[in-house]
Amino acid sequence: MNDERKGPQMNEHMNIVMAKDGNPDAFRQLYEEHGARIFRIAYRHTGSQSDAEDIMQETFIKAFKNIHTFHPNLKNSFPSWLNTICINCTLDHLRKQKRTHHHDQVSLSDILQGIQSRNHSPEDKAESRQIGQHINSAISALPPKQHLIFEMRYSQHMDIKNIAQTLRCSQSNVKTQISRALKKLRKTLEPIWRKP
Amino acid sequence: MKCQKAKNLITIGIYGRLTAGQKKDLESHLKECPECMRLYEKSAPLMNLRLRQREIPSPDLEKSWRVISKKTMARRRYSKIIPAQKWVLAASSLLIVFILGYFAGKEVLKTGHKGFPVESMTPLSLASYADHLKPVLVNFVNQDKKETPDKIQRLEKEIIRDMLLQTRLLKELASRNGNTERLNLLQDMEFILVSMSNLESGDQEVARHLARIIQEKNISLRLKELITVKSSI
Repeated sequence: MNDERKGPQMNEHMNIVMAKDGNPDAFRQLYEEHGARIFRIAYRHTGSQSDAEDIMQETFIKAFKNIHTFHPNLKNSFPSWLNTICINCTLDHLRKQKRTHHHDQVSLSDILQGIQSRNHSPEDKAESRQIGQHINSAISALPPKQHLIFEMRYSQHMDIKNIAQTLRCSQSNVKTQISRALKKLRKTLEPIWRKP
Repeated sequence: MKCQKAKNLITIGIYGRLTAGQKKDLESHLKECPECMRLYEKSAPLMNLRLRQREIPSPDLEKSWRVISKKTMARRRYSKIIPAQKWVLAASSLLIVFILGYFAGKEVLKTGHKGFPVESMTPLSLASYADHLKPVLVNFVNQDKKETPDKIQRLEKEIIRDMLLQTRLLKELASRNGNTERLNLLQDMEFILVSMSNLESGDQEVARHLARIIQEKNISLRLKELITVKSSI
């Protein structure tokens, strides 16, 4: 490991030790170091700023309350520990959302047809936003775990092993979820493909 | 590449983001497969649309920090103790209470209850005191110490100590009330009970002497007389 990386890691290690001792400045430094990154992860999965901020807060509250249980080693660094907490918070959030919101069935086909009949380019901002929302709805209609795994695999390009480690499930389970999610999403495109 | 995989890649291109390798694989398949090319052309307006639109905004880190610190720091100030430490703390507290209790009890036995705060105890009524005391005295006078098992002797001594406490309490009250007759009886009782509690199992001679004193001083009769006089403490 080169010296340039040793410095921040030592600082982080010191902050973790001090945070375990209840030092508020150490908590603040850890938050400043990782807050924006955790927000980005949450935002990628939810697409909503307020939801992502809620998840970020929940992640740090859980992390700080349980920091005494964190023991760094080669496989478990502080950022990856935080990621796991964030992903679990996101999963809980998606589950809650799924219980309270019912996603409408998406008909991308009709939208696409509407755009083409009006001779509008999908580059048109309003139109493309509309399509984007429908695509989001199709993904949100997936079961929360499938949704999350699909995003991790195909938006963030995480490998199967990493996803399995983060979600604490088997690699074969991840593969099954991916194939099911792909099957469901492919179905939303079939009406478009079937049209002559 | 099979057409099924190409369809999956088109789906990923719409709902996610294709890697450079996946794009290359898809393009080479599309060149060879007109059917998949047709599907791709139909879906092309949707490709990458979702992720292109998703510009990640900046979070309000300061506002979030206020929420986080409110929910964690205030709580943490009061509970720095981790669960394992809590058990150790609980066990140590119990041990300390037990040790203190043991030594306090030992001290009381050594001093013959002199250190006990008499005012804080509830005195028995005189009738109840006499009722408790009578079997102790009768038993002592009639019993052969040699034949009494150790266990029973220990139990008797505990009862005698309890009665001694009550005697001192009643004596204190009698002295405050200026009741001389009762005070004399209680002083005699105190002497007898202290002697009984200090009696070792081999002291047959002392035991006989004490039994004689109890009879000579007419303790049972005096107790009976005191009960019949309607004066309660």
